[in-house]
Amino acid sequence: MGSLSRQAFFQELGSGCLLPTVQQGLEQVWQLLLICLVCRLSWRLGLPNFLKHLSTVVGGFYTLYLFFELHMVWVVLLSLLCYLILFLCRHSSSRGPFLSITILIYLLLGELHMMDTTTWHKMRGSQMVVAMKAVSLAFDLDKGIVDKVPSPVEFMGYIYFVGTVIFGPWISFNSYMDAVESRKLSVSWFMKSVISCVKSQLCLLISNCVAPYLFPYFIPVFGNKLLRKWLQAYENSLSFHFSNYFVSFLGETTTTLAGAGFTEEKDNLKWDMTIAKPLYVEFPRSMVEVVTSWNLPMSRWLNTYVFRKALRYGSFTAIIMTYTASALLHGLSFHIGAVLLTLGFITYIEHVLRKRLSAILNACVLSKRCPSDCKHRHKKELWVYLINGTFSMLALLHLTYLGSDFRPQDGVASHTIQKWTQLSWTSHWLTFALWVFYRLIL
Amino acid sequence: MRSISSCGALLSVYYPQIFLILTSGSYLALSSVVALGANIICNKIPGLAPRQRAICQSRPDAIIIIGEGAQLGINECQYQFRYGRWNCSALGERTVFGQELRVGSKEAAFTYAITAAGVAHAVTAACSQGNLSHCGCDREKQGYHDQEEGWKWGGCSADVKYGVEFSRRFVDAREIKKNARRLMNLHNNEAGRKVLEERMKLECKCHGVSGSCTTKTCWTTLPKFREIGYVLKERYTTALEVEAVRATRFRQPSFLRLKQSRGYIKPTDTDLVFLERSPNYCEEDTVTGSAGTRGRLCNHTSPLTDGCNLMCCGRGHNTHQYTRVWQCNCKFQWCCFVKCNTCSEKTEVFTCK
Repeated sequence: MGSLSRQAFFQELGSGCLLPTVQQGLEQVWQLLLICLVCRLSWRLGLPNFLKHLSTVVGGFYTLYLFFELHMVWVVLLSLLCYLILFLCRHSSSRGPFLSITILIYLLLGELHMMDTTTWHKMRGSQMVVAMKAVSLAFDLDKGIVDKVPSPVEFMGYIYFVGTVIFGPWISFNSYMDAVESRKLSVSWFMKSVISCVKSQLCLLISNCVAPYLFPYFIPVFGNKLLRKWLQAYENSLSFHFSNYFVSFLGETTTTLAGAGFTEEKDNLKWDMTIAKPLYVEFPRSMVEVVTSWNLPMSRWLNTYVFRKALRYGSFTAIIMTYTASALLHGLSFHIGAVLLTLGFITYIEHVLRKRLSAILNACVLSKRCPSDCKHRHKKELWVYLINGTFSMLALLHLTYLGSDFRPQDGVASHTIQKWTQLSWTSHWLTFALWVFYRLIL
Repeated sequence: MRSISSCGALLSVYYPQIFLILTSGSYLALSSVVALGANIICNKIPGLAPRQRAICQSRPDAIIIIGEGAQLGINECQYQFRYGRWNCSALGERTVFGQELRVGSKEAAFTYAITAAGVAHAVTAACSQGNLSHCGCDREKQGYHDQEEGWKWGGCSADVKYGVEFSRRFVDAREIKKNARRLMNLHNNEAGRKVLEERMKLECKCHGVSGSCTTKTCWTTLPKFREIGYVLKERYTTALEVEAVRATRFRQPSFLRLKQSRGYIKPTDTDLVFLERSPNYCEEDTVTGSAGTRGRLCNHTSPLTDGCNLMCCGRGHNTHQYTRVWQCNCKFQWCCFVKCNTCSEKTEVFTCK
């Protein structure tokens, strides 16, 4: 009878969850994919650049309307405000900081005054991408990487680039201008698009239909009361992870389909855009690796435009400022702010501890994998693997803890605190213990 | 050598047939055991109406769920009325749905509603968890698009309609007499199920850049059954007295009418209805099925229904005193023993005379 109900469960899961999820997944994005493809094909027609920029603006506006309807005006307002600031400060050399402050004020005002939480939460992703694009452009202008303020149509084309406007990711202005030149259609381009699309639907299925039922249906582990709490936390965490991968692979699909996301090296073109590395998050070496693998373009953006500029205040301050910037980009959510700040402390302490251990033990136990020519004496001993394995298990535990309460209608501070209390503030205590240990071996 | 070789050949020829015989034998034995078990189980359950017994035999996998659902209803009933004179207990015949209340009172109305809702809730939950064959996630939700909200159904929506329909077929099947009480019971059963349907919740999962909510997949889920209990308790306090109306003389009663109204006003779908005034539940009475309050715990300082004055119906209460003794204020004395004081506490427990 037990095995029968399990078989019945899987049958019902197939017809009741897998099928409708795929159906809804494709139904929601097919128009976006189609517009990306049309944009790509039209760029191959030999249009003048003016019309290319204009066509992607039109496509971008249409997809924004598809997803946000009239609320898209907030995204439009933000982009207009950004261009106004860039234009007015075109002779200044501090456009980056000034534009950053302006965007921050706009986002805070939007969050606090202009609209309800649900709507803001829905389009937060697009706002974030627009903000990142504008800030990166401003800083690149300051540094001369971009030599002059782009024309309005170029700027709007960059901001509303149909491949990245809804699901991201951030791309630099120069990448966009490269894409406008419009590379040839090829099998590898098409295969990249299709494979990313399939991967995104697969991740959506795992997020909706596998993760929530992982224990005991897929993995027959029942556990006692304490273990069940952690198993359930892991299910929630995994579901959230794969939701992120769904969006990441979808972003890869739209970006590639629209003609961006390639690298070119001596006439060797590769369609190799990568947003997330799921394997590095699900089987982590360290929390540092998790953080960078979660969203590579965002990681690059934060590193280039926040961390390096804040490094003159010290590495700890730079890390905290980076996580603060990340939290602010996500909007005024106590939950996300708390998670990101906790994550900041966890990664910093792990990083400095492993650095210290690496020096003391002369072994490859750093947060990041050593290159093959590193000068550590101990590389492949058993105890080196044990130390790295322990940190990997710790990272898994941290991920379970931090991801355990990502749910749609959160936003209440007490909910996050309640969830962490249920899990006995384990990650916080462990991080504190590691910090004490680190101070002891200084 | 030749002998050994031929022996091996013989084994290889015979083995598949032997395996087949064993397998089919086990299968036949297994299926007959299952069928036999179902019949025994169904016949041993007390108080099943003939149609209910037939459903039990045709769907043995569901009968366990139904029992759990009925128990869920009874437990919730006892929780909601734990401080009252009537605490969801009754004299009379013991059935899978608890003891039946003979008087067509407000309490009977609540009992029938909460039990029907409990069965529907348990069946719906079993469907969602894949524990019942022939049902699963709600297929009507596939492809549904709510224009205003902008989200679409996905995930596994609890199929409450199946649970409600199953509850209707099984629970209502026990009403076999053609009388006013039947109409009352059917109405209250349906009211309980309607409350469950109204209270289904919508859950969504967000998908978007960094956890934003650019797009969603949504599904419906069951509420906690305690919530249903609270709602029905409220309906209980505003239950309506009704009487049965015959369409013509000499016919069976055909519908219910509000007793206080001057016309033929019917109760609404979610009202609880009763035919007779409640007994006071003070004394044990086999005629009304009242269990009485003798021996019930009460709170002698409370002015509410759990207070001794009301609970005991003026008969007074007995006081039982208990003394608890334990070691306290232990201190270590140098050298070398621990000395403790003895503390005691008196508590009083009150029960109705």
